[in-house]
Amino acid sequence: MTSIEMEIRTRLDVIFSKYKPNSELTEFKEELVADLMEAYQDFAKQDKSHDEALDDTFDQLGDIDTVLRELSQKTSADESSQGDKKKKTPFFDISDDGFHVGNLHINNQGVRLGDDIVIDGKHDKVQFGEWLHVDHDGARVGKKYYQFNDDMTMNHAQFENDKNTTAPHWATAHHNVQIPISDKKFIFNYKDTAINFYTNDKTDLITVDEYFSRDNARYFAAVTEDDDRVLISQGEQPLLFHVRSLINIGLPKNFEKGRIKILNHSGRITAHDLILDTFDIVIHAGSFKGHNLKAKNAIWEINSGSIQVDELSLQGAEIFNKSGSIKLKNATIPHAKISVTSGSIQADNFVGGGQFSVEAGPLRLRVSKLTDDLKLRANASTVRVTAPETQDFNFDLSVRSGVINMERNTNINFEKNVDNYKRGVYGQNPEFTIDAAIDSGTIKIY
Amino acid sequence: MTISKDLIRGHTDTIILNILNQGDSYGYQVSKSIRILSQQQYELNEATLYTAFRRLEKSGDVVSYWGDETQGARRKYYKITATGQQNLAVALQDWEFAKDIINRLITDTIAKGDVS
Repeated sequence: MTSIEMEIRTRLDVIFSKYKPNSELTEFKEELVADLMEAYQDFAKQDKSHDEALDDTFDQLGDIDTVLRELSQKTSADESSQGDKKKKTPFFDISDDGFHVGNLHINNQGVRLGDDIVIDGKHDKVQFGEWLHVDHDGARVGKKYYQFNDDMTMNHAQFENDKNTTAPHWATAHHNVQIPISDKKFIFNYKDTAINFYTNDKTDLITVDEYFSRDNARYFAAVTEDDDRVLISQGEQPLLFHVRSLINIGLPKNFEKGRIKILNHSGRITAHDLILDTFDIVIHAGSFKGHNLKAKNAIWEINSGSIQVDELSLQGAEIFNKSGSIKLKNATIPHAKISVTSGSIQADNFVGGGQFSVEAGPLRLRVSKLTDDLKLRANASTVRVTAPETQDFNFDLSVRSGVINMERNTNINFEKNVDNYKRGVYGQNPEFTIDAAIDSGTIKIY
Repeated sequence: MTISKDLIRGHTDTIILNILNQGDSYGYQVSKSIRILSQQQYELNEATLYTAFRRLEKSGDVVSYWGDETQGARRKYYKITATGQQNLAVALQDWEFAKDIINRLITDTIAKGDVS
Protein backbone atom coordinates (compact mmCIF):
# COMPACT_ATOMS: atom_id res chain seq x y z
CA MET A 1 0.00 0.00 0.00
CA THR A 2 1.40 3.38 -0.91
CA SER A 3 1.52 6.16 1.63
CA ILE A 4 -1.05 8.14 -0.37
CA GLU A 5 -3.48 5.26 -0.28
CA MET A 6 -2.87 4.92 3.44
CA GLU A 7 -3.60 8.57 4.04
CA ILE A 8 -6.72 8.52 1.90
CA ARG A 9 -7.93 5.48 3.83
CA THR A 10 -7.22 7.14 7.14
CA ARG A 11 -9.19 10.23 6.19
CA LEU A 12 -12.08 8.15 4.91
CA ASP A 13 -12.07 6.19 8.17
CA VAL A 14 -12.71 9.42 10.01
CA ILE A 15 -15.63 10.32 7.74
CA PHE A 16 -17.09 6.81 7.87
CA SER A 17 -16.63 6.40 11.62
CA LYS A 18 -19.91 8.19 12.31
CA TYR A 19 -21.86 5.40 10.69
CA LYS A 20 -22.55 1.86 11.72
CA PRO A 21 -20.45 -0.34 9.46
CA ASN A 22 -22.05 -2.68 6.96
CA SER A 23 -20.98 -4.35 3.75
CA GLU A 24 -22.43 -1.60 1.53
CA LEU A 25 -20.41 1.04 3.35
CA THR A 26 -17.24 -1.04 3.12
CA GLU A 27 -17.76 -1.49 -0.58
CA PHE A 28 -18.40 2.21 -1.06
CA LYS A 29 -15.21 3.02 0.84
CA GLU A 30 -13.21 0.79 -1.51
CA GLU A 31 -14.77 2.53 -4.49
CA LEU A 32 -13.88 5.92 -3.08
CA VAL A 33 -10.26 4.96 -2.37
CA ALA A 34 -9.60 4.28 -6.05
CA ASP A 35 -11.47 7.35 -7.25
CA LEU A 36 -9.81 9.63 -4.73
CA MET A 37 -6.35 8.31 -5.54
CA GLU A 38 -6.85 9.29 -9.12
CA ALA A 39 -8.24 12.69 -8.13
CA TYR A 40 -5.16 13.12 -5.97
CA GLN A 41 -2.88 12.41 -8.95
CA ASP A 42 -4.65 15.15 -10.88
CA PHE A 43 -4.35 17.70 -8.10
CA ALA A 44 -0.72 16.76 -7.57
CA LYS A 45 0.03 18.03 -11.07
CA GLN A 46 -1.23 21.48 -10.13
CA ASP A 47 -0.50 21.73 -6.43
CA LYS A 48 3.01 21.85 -5.10
CA SER A 49 2.83 19.69 -2.06
CA HIS A 50 1.45 16.37 -1.10
CA ASP A 51 -0.83 17.64 1.66
CA GLU A 52 -2.15 20.46 -0.43
CA ALA A 53 -3.21 18.01 -3.14
CA LEU A 54 -4.74 15.72 -0.54
CA ASP A 55 -6.74 18.55 1.02
CA ASP A 56 -7.97 19.66 -2.39
CA THR A 57 -8.96 16.10 -3.21
CA PHE A 58 -11.18 15.88 -0.18
CA ASP A 59 -12.53 19.39 -0.74
CA GLN A 60 -13.65 18.29 -4.17
CA LEU A 61 -15.29 15.17 -2.83
CA GLY A 62 -17.57 17.46 -0.87
CA ASP A 63 -20.23 16.30 1.47
CA ILE A 64 -20.94 12.60 1.10
CA ASP A 65 -22.81 12.33 4.37
CA THR A 66 -26.14 11.97 2.60
CA VAL A 67 -24.86 8.93 0.69
CA LEU A 68 -23.35 7.43 3.82
CA ARG A 69 -26.49 7.96 5.81
CA GLU A 70 -28.53 6.28 3.12
CA LEU A 71 -26.18 3.32 2.87
CA SER A 72 -25.91 2.83 6.61
CA GLN A 73 -29.67 2.93 7.02
CA LYS A 74 -30.30 0.58 4.15
CA THR A 75 -29.47 -2.57 6.08
CA SER A 76 -31.25 -1.56 9.24
CA ALA A 77 -34.37 -0.86 7.18
CA ASP A 78 -33.96 -4.11 5.30
CA GLU A 79 -33.78 -6.00 8.54
CA SER A 80 -36.97 -4.58 9.99
CA SER A 81 -39.30 -4.12 7.05
CA GLN A 82 -38.32 -5.15 3.59
CA GLY A 83 -38.24 -2.68 0.76
CA ASP A 84 -39.26 0.21 2.93
CA LYS A 85 -37.49 3.19 1.46
CA LYS A 86 -38.53 5.67 4.13
CA LYS A 87 -35.78 6.51 6.56
CA LYS A 88 -36.52 5.47 10.10
CA THR A 89 -35.67 8.33 12.40
CA PRO A 90 -36.55 8.69 16.04
CA PHE A 91 -39.23 11.17 16.98
CA PHE A 92 -36.83 13.33 18.91
CA ASP A 93 -33.21 13.51 17.93
CA ILE A 94 -30.33 15.89 18.56
CA SER A 95 -26.98 15.16 16.96
CA ASP A 96 -24.21 16.78 14.94
CA ASP A 97 -26.56 16.53 11.99
CA GLY A 98 -29.11 18.79 13.57
CA PHE A 99 -32.22 18.83 15.60
CA HIS A 100 -35.36 16.89 14.79
CA VAL A 101 -38.74 16.65 16.46
CA GLY A 102 -41.27 14.67 14.49
CA ASN A 103 -41.30 16.28 11.08
CA LEU A 104 -39.58 19.49 12.20
CA HIS A 105 -35.97 19.39 11.09
CA ILE A 106 -33.38 22.02 11.89
CA ASN A 107 -29.87 21.48 10.59
CA ASN A 108 -27.10 23.37 8.84
CA GLN A 109 -29.13 23.36 5.64
CA GLY A 110 -32.00 25.23 7.11
CA VAL A 111 -35.39 24.64 8.65
CA ARG A 112 -38.05 22.27 7.40
CA LEU A 113 -41.46 21.40 8.75
CA GLY A 114 -42.75 18.47 6.79
CA ASP A 115 -42.63 19.50 3.16
CA ASP A 116 -44.79 22.54 3.68
CA ILE A 117 -42.62 25.09 5.40
CA VAL A 118 -39.03 25.20 4.31
CA ILE A 119 -36.25 27.65 4.96
CA ASP A 120 -33.31 26.34 3.02
CA GLY A 121 -30.14 28.26 3.77
CA LYS A 122 -27.98 26.19 1.50
CA HIS A 123 -29.97 26.88 -1.62
CA ASP A 124 -31.35 30.22 -0.46
CA LYS A 125 -34.92 29.09 -0.69
CA VAL A 126 -37.95 29.92 1.35
CA GLN A 127 -41.25 28.14 0.92
CA PHE A 128 -44.55 28.17 2.75
CA GLY A 129 -46.79 25.42 1.50
CA GLU A 130 -48.08 25.93 -1.99
CA TRP A 131 -48.69 29.59 -1.40
CA LEU A 132 -45.24 31.20 -1.29
CA HIS A 133 -42.01 30.15 -2.95
CA VAL A 134 -38.93 32.37 -3.06
CA ASP A 135 -35.55 31.43 -4.48
CA HIS A 136 -32.76 32.94 -6.58
CA ASP A 137 -34.83 33.03 -9.73
CA GLY A 138 -37.96 34.61 -8.48
CA ALA A 139 -40.88 34.59 -6.15
CA ARG A 140 -44.24 32.95 -6.52
CA VAL A 141 -47.08 34.15 -4.38
CA GLY A 142 -50.29 32.25 -4.95
CA LYS A 143 -50.55 32.06 -8.70
CA LYS A 144 -48.46 35.13 -9.49
CA TYR A 145 -44.83 34.69 -10.44
CA TYR A 146 -42.28 37.47 -10.08
CA GLN A 147 -39.00 36.84 -11.79
CA PHE A 148 -35.97 38.48 -10.23
CA ASN A 149 -33.77 40.64 -12.40
CA ASP A 150 -31.41 37.96 -13.41
CA ASP A 151 -31.33 38.38 -17.09
CA MET A 152 -30.17 35.60 -19.36
CA THR A 153 -28.01 37.97 -21.39
CA MET A 154 -25.87 38.43 -18.31
CA ASN A 155 -24.00 35.23 -18.79
CA HIS A 156 -20.35 34.60 -19.16
CA ALA A 157 -20.48 34.86 -22.93
CA GLN A 158 -21.10 38.53 -22.50
CA PHE A 159 -17.63 38.96 -21.10
CA GLU A 160 -16.20 37.86 -24.40
CA ASN A 161 -18.71 39.75 -26.45
CA ASP A 162 -19.25 43.41 -25.61
CA LYS A 163 -21.80 43.82 -28.32
CA ASN A 164 -24.34 42.02 -26.25
CA THR A 165 -25.42 45.36 -24.85
CA THR A 166 -28.48 45.45 -27.04
CA ALA A 167 -32.06 45.61 -25.88
CA PRO A 168 -33.36 42.53 -24.10
CA HIS A 169 -36.32 40.82 -25.76
CA TRP A 170 -38.76 41.76 -23.01
CA ALA A 171 -38.04 45.48 -23.17
CA THR A 172 -40.90 47.75 -24.22
CA ALA A 173 -39.22 50.99 -23.18
CA HIS A 174 -35.72 52.28 -23.74
CA HIS A 175 -34.29 55.37 -22.12
CA ASN A 176 -30.88 56.71 -23.08
CA VAL A 177 -28.84 59.35 -21.26
CA GLN A 178 -25.43 60.64 -22.23
CA ILE A 179 -23.32 62.41 -19.67
CA PRO A 180 -20.06 64.18 -20.50
CA ILE A 181 -17.17 63.00 -18.37
CA SER A 182 -15.47 65.28 -15.86
CA ASP A 183 -13.35 64.86 -12.77
CA LYS A 184 -16.45 64.85 -10.61
CA LYS A 185 -17.49 61.66 -8.94
CA PHE A 186 -20.26 59.80 -10.77
CA ILE A 187 -22.71 58.14 -8.45
CA PHE A 188 -25.27 55.71 -9.77
CA ASN A 189 -28.00 55.12 -7.26
CA TYR A 190 -30.26 52.21 -8.07
CA LYS A 191 -32.54 50.30 -5.78
CA ASP A 192 -33.35 47.11 -7.49
CA THR A 193 -32.20 46.23 -10.97
CA ALA A 194 -29.61 44.47 -13.12
CA ILE A 195 -26.66 46.66 -14.03
CA ASN A 196 -23.91 46.02 -16.52
CA PHE A 197 -20.78 48.16 -16.91
CA TYR A 198 -18.77 48.03 -20.11
CA THR A 199 -16.50 50.25 -22.20
CA ASN A 200 -18.39 52.10 -24.94
CA ASP A 201 -17.01 53.51 -28.18
CA LYS A 202 -17.19 57.14 -27.07
CA THR A 203 -14.24 59.30 -26.08
CA ASP A 204 -15.80 61.57 -23.50
CA LEU A 205 -19.35 60.40 -22.84
CA ILE A 206 -20.86 58.07 -20.30
CA THR A 207 -23.84 56.34 -21.85
CA VAL A 208 -26.68 54.99 -19.77
CA ASP A 209 -29.19 52.74 -21.49
CA GLU A 210 -32.16 51.75 -19.41
CA TYR A 211 -34.60 49.06 -20.51
CA PHE A 212 -37.96 48.43 -18.90
CA SER A 213 -40.61 45.79 -19.35
CA ARG A 214 -43.31 48.48 -19.19
CA ASP A 215 -43.30 51.93 -20.67
CA ASN A 216 -43.65 54.82 -18.28
CA ALA A 217 -41.42 57.90 -18.20
CA ARG A 218 -41.62 57.93 -14.43
CA TYR A 219 -39.36 54.86 -14.34
CA PHE A 220 -36.49 56.66 -16.09
CA ALA A 221 -33.43 57.76 -14.16
CA ALA A 222 -32.84 61.40 -13.28
CA VAL A 223 -29.49 63.14 -13.45
CA THR A 224 -28.55 65.87 -11.01
CA GLU A 225 -25.24 67.60 -10.64
CA ASP A 226 -23.53 69.75 -8.05
CA ASP A 227 -20.00 71.05 -7.55
CA ASP A 228 -18.29 67.78 -6.92
CA ARG A 229 -20.56 65.01 -8.07
CA VAL A 230 -22.99 63.84 -10.69
CA LEU A 231 -25.83 61.77 -9.34
CA ILE A 232 -27.80 59.38 -11.52
CA SER A 233 -30.73 58.04 -9.58
CA GLN A 234 -33.25 55.42 -10.48
CA GLY A 235 -36.72 56.60 -11.38
CA GLU A 236 -39.84 55.57 -9.61
CA GLN A 237 -40.52 51.95 -8.94
CA PRO A 238 -44.12 50.88 -8.75
CA LEU A 239 -44.80 49.13 -5.49
CA LEU A 240 -47.53 46.86 -6.66
CA PHE A 241 -46.49 45.56 -10.04
CA HIS A 242 -42.94 44.65 -10.67
CA VAL A 243 -41.21 46.26 -13.63
CA ARG A 244 -38.32 44.38 -15.03
CA SER A 245 -35.31 46.51 -15.86
CA LEU A 246 -31.79 46.30 -17.17
CA ILE A 247 -29.27 49.12 -17.12
CA ASN A 248 -26.27 49.14 -19.43
CA ILE A 249 -23.69 51.72 -18.41
CA GLY A 250 -20.99 52.45 -20.97
CA LEU A 251 -17.86 54.20 -19.82
CA PRO A 252 -15.61 55.87 -22.41
CA LYS A 253 -12.18 54.57 -23.25
CA ASN A 254 -9.32 56.40 -21.58
CA PHE A 255 -11.31 57.17 -18.47
CA GLU A 256 -8.40 56.37 -16.16
CA LYS A 257 -9.28 59.33 -13.99
CA GLY A 258 -12.88 58.33 -13.71
CA ARG A 259 -14.40 57.96 -10.30
CA ILE A 260 -17.49 55.76 -10.26
CA LYS A 261 -19.67 54.64 -7.43
CA ILE A 262 -22.59 52.30 -7.89
CA LEU A 263 -25.32 51.54 -5.39
CA ASN A 264 -27.81 48.80 -5.97
CA HIS A 265 -30.05 47.69 -3.20
CA SER A 266 -30.75 44.27 -4.60
CA GLY A 267 -29.96 42.79 -7.92
CA ARG A 268 -26.99 41.96 -9.96
CA ILE A 269 -24.03 44.01 -11.14
CA THR A 270 -21.60 42.90 -13.78
CA ALA A 271 -18.58 44.80 -15.08
CA HIS A 272 -15.95 44.01 -17.63
CA ASP A 273 -12.95 45.61 -19.32
CA LEU A 274 -12.76 48.79 -17.25
CA ILE A 275 -9.82 51.01 -16.35
CA LEU A 276 -10.73 53.61 -13.74
CA ASP A 277 -9.37 55.63 -10.88
CA THR A 278 -12.07 54.66 -8.43
CA PHE A 279 -14.69 51.94 -8.68
CA ASP A 280 -16.85 51.68 -5.58
CA ILE A 281 -19.74 49.26 -5.19
CA VAL A 282 -22.47 49.02 -2.59
CA ILE A 283 -24.95 46.14 -2.81
CA HIS A 284 -27.40 45.21 -0.15
CA ALA A 285 -28.39 41.80 -1.45
CA GLY A 286 -27.18 40.51 -4.75
CA SER A 287 -24.07 39.73 -6.62
CA PHE A 288 -21.16 41.34 -8.36
CA LYS A 289 -19.35 39.61 -11.16
CA GLY A 290 -16.40 41.18 -12.93
CA HIS A 291 -13.80 40.43 -15.53
CA ASN A 292 -10.68 42.38 -16.47
CA LEU A 293 -10.99 45.33 -14.11
CA LYS A 294 -8.33 47.83 -13.15
CA ALA A 295 -8.60 50.70 -10.68
CA LYS A 296 -6.49 52.64 -8.22
CA ASN A 297 -9.06 52.46 -5.46
CA ALA A 298 -12.01 50.27 -4.82
CA ILE A 299 -14.35 49.92 -1.90
CA TRP A 300 -16.86 47.11 -2.31
CA GLU A 301 -19.50 46.53 0.28
CA ILE A 302 -22.02 43.74 0.06
CA ASN A 303 -24.41 42.87 2.79
CA SER A 304 -25.33 39.48 1.51
CA GLY A 305 -24.39 38.00 -1.79
CA SER A 306 -21.37 37.02 -3.77
CA ILE A 307 -18.40 38.67 -5.41
CA GLN A 308 -16.64 36.90 -8.23
CA VAL A 309 -13.89 38.55 -10.26
CA ASP A 310 -11.33 37.24 -12.71
CA GLU A 311 -8.37 39.37 -13.79
CA LEU A 312 -8.38 42.16 -11.31
CA SER A 313 -5.83 44.81 -10.58
CA LEU A 314 -6.46 47.23 -7.74
CA GLN A 315 -3.92 49.46 -6.03
CA GLY A 316 -5.85 49.58 -2.83
CA ALA A 317 -8.97 47.60 -2.17
CA GLU A 318 -11.39 47.25 0.67
CA ILE A 319 -13.85 44.47 0.13
CA PHE A 320 -16.49 43.56 2.69
CA ASN A 321 -19.11 40.91 2.43
CA LYS A 322 -21.27 40.32 5.44
CA SER A 323 -22.59 36.95 4.41
CA GLY A 324 -21.61 35.29 1.21
CA SER A 325 -18.53 34.50 -0.76
CA ILE A 326 -15.63 36.36 -2.30
CA LYS A 327 -13.86 34.63 -5.13
CA LEU A 328 -10.92 36.26 -6.89
CA LYS A 329 -8.84 34.82 -9.68
CA ASN A 330 -5.69 36.31 -11.13
CA ALA A 331 -5.86 39.30 -8.80
CA THR A 332 -3.12 41.81 -8.13
CA ILE A 333 -3.82 43.83 -5.01
CA PRO A 334 -0.77 45.31 -3.26
CA HIS A 335 -2.80 46.60 -0.35
CA ALA A 336 -5.85 44.45 0.17
CA LYS A 337 -8.29 44.60 2.98
CA ILE A 338 -10.80 41.84 2.46
CA SER A 339 -13.25 40.57 4.99
CA VAL A 340 -16.24 38.29 5.23
CA THR A 341 -18.33 37.84 8.31
CA SER A 342 -19.84 34.50 7.48
CA GLY A 343 -18.94 32.94 4.21
CA SER A 344 -15.83 32.13 2.30
CA ILE A 345 -12.86 33.86 0.71
CA GLN A 346 -10.91 32.29 -2.09
CA ALA A 347 -8.13 33.90 -4.11
CA ASP A 348 -6.23 32.04 -6.81
CA ASN A 349 -3.05 33.31 -8.38
CA PHE A 350 -2.95 36.23 -5.98
CA VAL A 351 -0.18 38.83 -6.18
CA GLY A 352 0.05 41.34 -3.37
CA GLY A 353 -0.48 41.47 0.35
CA GLY A 354 -2.70 42.92 3.00
CA GLN A 355 -5.30 41.74 5.38
CA PHE A 356 -7.87 38.98 4.99
CA SER A 357 -10.36 38.18 7.67
CA VAL A 358 -13.28 35.86 8.14
CA GLU A 359 -15.50 35.46 11.12
CA ALA A 360 -16.67 31.98 10.21
CA GLY A 361 -15.91 30.16 7.01
CA PRO A 362 -12.98 28.95 4.98
CA LEU A 363 -10.15 31.11 3.67
CA ARG A 364 -8.13 29.69 0.79
CA LEU A 365 -5.31 31.67 -0.82
CA ARG A 366 -3.00 30.58 -3.57
CA VAL A 367 -0.34 33.27 -3.53
CA SER A 368 1.92 33.63 -6.54
CA LYS A 369 3.87 36.56 -5.20
CA LEU A 370 3.95 38.57 -2.01
CA THR A 371 4.52 42.30 -2.34
CA ASP A 372 3.60 43.07 1.25
CA ASP A 373 2.94 41.31 4.54
CA LEU A 374 -0.04 39.02 4.66
CA LYS A 375 -2.21 39.24 7.71
CA LEU A 376 -4.90 36.62 8.13
CA ARG A 377 -7.47 36.72 10.87
CA ALA A 378 -10.32 34.35 11.56
CA ASN A 379 -12.57 33.27 14.32
CA ALA A 380 -13.65 29.78 13.39
CA SER A 381 -12.14 28.75 10.13
CA THR A 382 -9.84 26.68 8.02
CA VAL A 383 -7.12 28.92 6.68
CA ARG A 384 -5.14 27.39 3.86
CA VAL A 385 -2.39 29.33 2.12
CA THR A 386 -0.17 28.23 -0.72
CA ALA A 387 2.88 30.41 -0.30
CA PRO A 388 4.85 31.56 -3.35
CA GLU A 389 7.15 28.93 -4.74
CA THR A 390 10.36 30.87 -5.04
CA GLN A 391 9.95 33.59 -2.45
CA ASP A 392 11.35 33.46 1.07
CA PHE A 393 9.09 34.60 3.90
CA ASN A 394 8.70 34.92 7.65
CA PHE A 395 5.79 33.23 9.28
CA ASP A 396 3.95 33.77 12.50
CA LEU A 397 1.03 31.41 13.01
CA SER A 398 -1.17 30.94 16.02
CA VAL A 399 -4.37 29.10 16.85
CA ARG A 400 -6.11 29.27 20.20
CA SER A 401 -7.67 25.88 19.79
CA GLY A 402 -6.85 23.80 16.79
CA VAL A 403 -3.85 22.83 14.75
CA ILE A 404 -1.18 24.46 12.62
CA ASN A 405 0.52 22.66 9.81
CA MET A 406 3.59 24.09 8.18
CA GLU A 407 3.87 21.81 5.22
CA ARG A 408 7.35 22.80 4.14
CA ASN A 409 10.15 20.66 5.50
CA THR A 410 13.37 21.94 4.07
CA ASN A 411 14.89 25.38 4.29
CA ILE A 412 12.84 26.19 7.32
CA ASN A 413 13.95 27.59 10.68
CA PHE A 414 11.61 27.67 13.61
CA GLU A 415 12.06 30.22 16.36
CA LYS A 416 9.11 28.76 18.12
CA ASN A 417 7.45 25.50 17.22
CA VAL A 418 4.64 24.22 19.39
CA ASP A 419 1.27 22.80 18.42
CA ASN A 420 -0.66 26.04 18.43
CA TYR A 421 2.09 28.54 17.77
CA LYS A 422 4.71 28.49 15.07
CA ARG A 423 7.06 31.29 14.18
CA GLY A 424 10.11 31.29 11.97
CA VAL A 425 11.64 31.82 8.58
CA TYR A 426 11.37 30.02 5.30
CA GLY A 427 14.48 30.51 3.15
CA GLN A 428 17.37 32.90 3.66
CA ASN A 429 16.15 36.36 2.70
CA PRO A 430 12.58 36.89 3.77
CA GLU A 431 11.11 40.23 2.88
CA PHE A 432 7.53 39.75 4.02
CA THR A 433 5.66 37.92 6.73
CA ILE A 434 2.68 35.59 6.58
CA ASP A 435 0.93 36.26 9.83
CA ALA A 436 -2.11 34.17 10.64
CA ALA A 437 -4.03 34.09 13.88
CA ILE A 438 -7.29 32.27 14.37
CA ASP A 439 -9.39 31.40 17.33
CA SER A 440 -10.41 27.88 16.47
CA GLY A 441 -9.73 25.79 13.43
CA THR A 442 -6.83 24.89 11.24
CA ILE A 443 -4.01 26.83 9.62
CA LYS A 444 -2.11 25.23 6.82
CA ILE A 445 0.74 26.74 4.86
CA TYR A 446 1.89 24.86 1.80
CA MET B 1 -23.34 31.76 -14.82
CA THR B 2 -23.91 28.15 -13.90
CA ILE B 3 -26.63 25.80 -14.96
CA SER B 4 -29.26 25.65 -12.29
CA LYS B 5 -29.59 22.45 -10.29
CA ASP B 6 -33.33 22.51 -10.76
CA LEU B 7 -32.96 22.51 -14.52
CA ILE B 8 -30.58 19.59 -14.75
CA ARG B 9 -31.77 17.46 -11.85
CA GLY B 10 -34.18 15.32 -13.87
CA HIS B 11 -31.45 14.49 -16.36
CA THR B 12 -28.73 13.18 -14.06
CA ASP B 13 -29.49 9.53 -14.78
CA THR B 14 -29.65 10.09 -18.54
CA ILE B 15 -26.33 11.93 -18.46
CA ILE B 16 -24.68 9.03 -16.65
CA LEU B 17 -26.27 6.45 -18.92
CA ASN B 18 -25.08 8.35 -21.98
CA ILE B 19 -21.52 8.27 -20.68
CA LEU B 20 -21.65 4.59 -19.74
CA ASN B 21 -23.18 3.79 -23.11
CA GLN B 22 -19.85 4.84 -24.63
CA GLY B 23 -17.90 2.43 -22.48
CA ASP B 24 -17.61 1.14 -18.93
CA SER B 25 -16.40 3.73 -16.50
CA TYR B 26 -15.88 4.51 -12.81
CA GLY B 27 -16.86 7.41 -10.55
CA TYR B 28 -13.98 9.79 -10.96
CA GLN B 29 -13.81 9.26 -14.71
CA VAL B 30 -17.55 9.84 -15.09
CA SER B 31 -17.33 13.12 -13.18
CA LYS B 32 -14.42 14.13 -15.40
CA SER B 33 -16.36 13.18 -18.54
CA ILE B 34 -19.25 15.35 -17.36
CA ARG B 35 -16.92 18.28 -16.94
CA ILE B 36 -15.47 17.75 -20.41
CA LEU B 37 -18.83 17.18 -22.14
CA SER B 38 -20.21 20.37 -20.58
CA GLN B 39 -17.06 22.27 -21.56
CA GLN B 40 -16.32 22.99 -17.90
CA GLN B 41 -19.75 24.58 -17.44
CA TYR B 42 -21.19 21.88 -15.25
CA GLU B 43 -19.80 19.86 -12.40
CA LEU B 44 -21.84 17.08 -10.91
CA ASN B 45 -21.59 16.94 -7.16
CA GLU B 46 -19.86 13.69 -6.15
CA ALA B 47 -22.51 12.80 -3.62
CA THR B 48 -25.17 13.08 -6.34
CA LEU B 49 -23.08 10.93 -8.65
CA TYR B 50 -22.59 8.07 -6.18
CA THR B 51 -26.25 8.22 -5.19
CA ALA B 52 -27.24 8.00 -8.85
CA PHE B 53 -24.97 4.99 -9.41
CA ARG B 54 -26.71 3.18 -6.59
CA ARG B 55 -30.14 4.14 -7.87
CA LEU B 56 -29.30 2.98 -11.40
CA GLU B 57 -27.87 -0.26 -10.11
CA LYS B 58 -31.00 -0.95 -8.11
CA SER B 59 -33.26 -0.27 -11.09
CA GLY B 60 -31.17 -2.60 -13.25
CA ASP B 61 -29.92 0.08 -15.64
CA VAL B 62 -26.29 -0.57 -14.76
CA VAL B 63 -24.24 -3.32 -13.17
CA SER B 64 -20.95 -2.90 -11.39
CA TYR B 65 -17.80 -4.96 -11.22
CA TRP B 66 -14.37 -4.56 -9.70
CA GLY B 67 -11.45 -3.83 -12.01
CA ASP B 68 -8.29 -5.87 -11.93
CA GLU B 69 -5.79 -3.04 -11.49
CA THR B 70 -2.46 -4.57 -10.67
CA GLN B 71 -1.25 -1.57 -8.72
CA GLY B 72 -3.12 0.81 -6.50
CA ALA B 73 -6.66 0.32 -5.28
CA ARG B 74 -9.17 -1.54 -7.40
CA ARG B 75 -11.69 0.57 -9.22
CA LYS B 76 -15.38 -0.06 -9.25
CA TYR B 77 -16.60 0.01 -12.83
CA TYR B 78 -20.14 0.52 -14.00
CA LYS B 79 -21.55 -1.05 -17.13
CA ILE B 80 -24.79 -0.18 -18.84
CA THR B 81 -27.25 -3.08 -19.22
CA ALA B 82 -29.69 -3.76 -22.05
CA THR B 83 -32.43 -2.28 -19.85
CA GLY B 84 -30.25 0.77 -19.32
CA GLN B 85 -29.76 1.18 -23.04
CA GLN B 86 -33.50 0.93 -23.63
CA ASN B 87 -34.18 3.49 -20.94
CA LEU B 88 -31.55 5.77 -22.40
CA ALA B 89 -33.20 5.55 -25.81
CA VAL B 90 -36.58 6.35 -24.28
CA ALA B 91 -35.14 9.27 -22.34
CA LEU B 92 -33.58 10.63 -25.52
CA GLN B 93 -36.90 10.39 -27.37
CA ASP B 94 -38.65 12.14 -24.50
CA TRP B 95 -36.07 14.88 -24.57
CA GLU B 96 -36.21 15.35 -28.34
CA PHE B 97 -39.95 15.69 -28.09
CA ALA B 98 -39.91 17.99 -25.08
CA LYS B 99 -37.08 20.34 -25.87
CA ASP B 100 -38.66 22.16 -28.81
CA ILE B 101 -41.98 22.48 -27.06
CA ILE B 102 -40.40 23.78 -23.86
CA ASN B 103 -38.29 26.16 -25.88
CA ARG B 104 -41.39 27.49 -27.62
CA LEU B 105 -43.30 27.70 -24.37
CA ILE B 106 -40.72 29.82 -22.64
CA THR B 107 -39.61 32.08 -25.48
CA ASP B 108 -42.38 32.52 -28.06
CA THR B 109 -44.94 35.27 -27.98
CA ILE B 110 -48.53 34.68 -28.96
CA ALA B 111 -49.20 36.31 -32.30
CA LYS B 112 -52.58 37.77 -33.11
CA GLY B 113 -54.69 35.14 -34.73
CA ASP B 114 -53.09 32.28 -32.83
CA VAL B 115 -55.81 32.39 -30.25
CA SER B 116 -59.36 32.43 -31.36
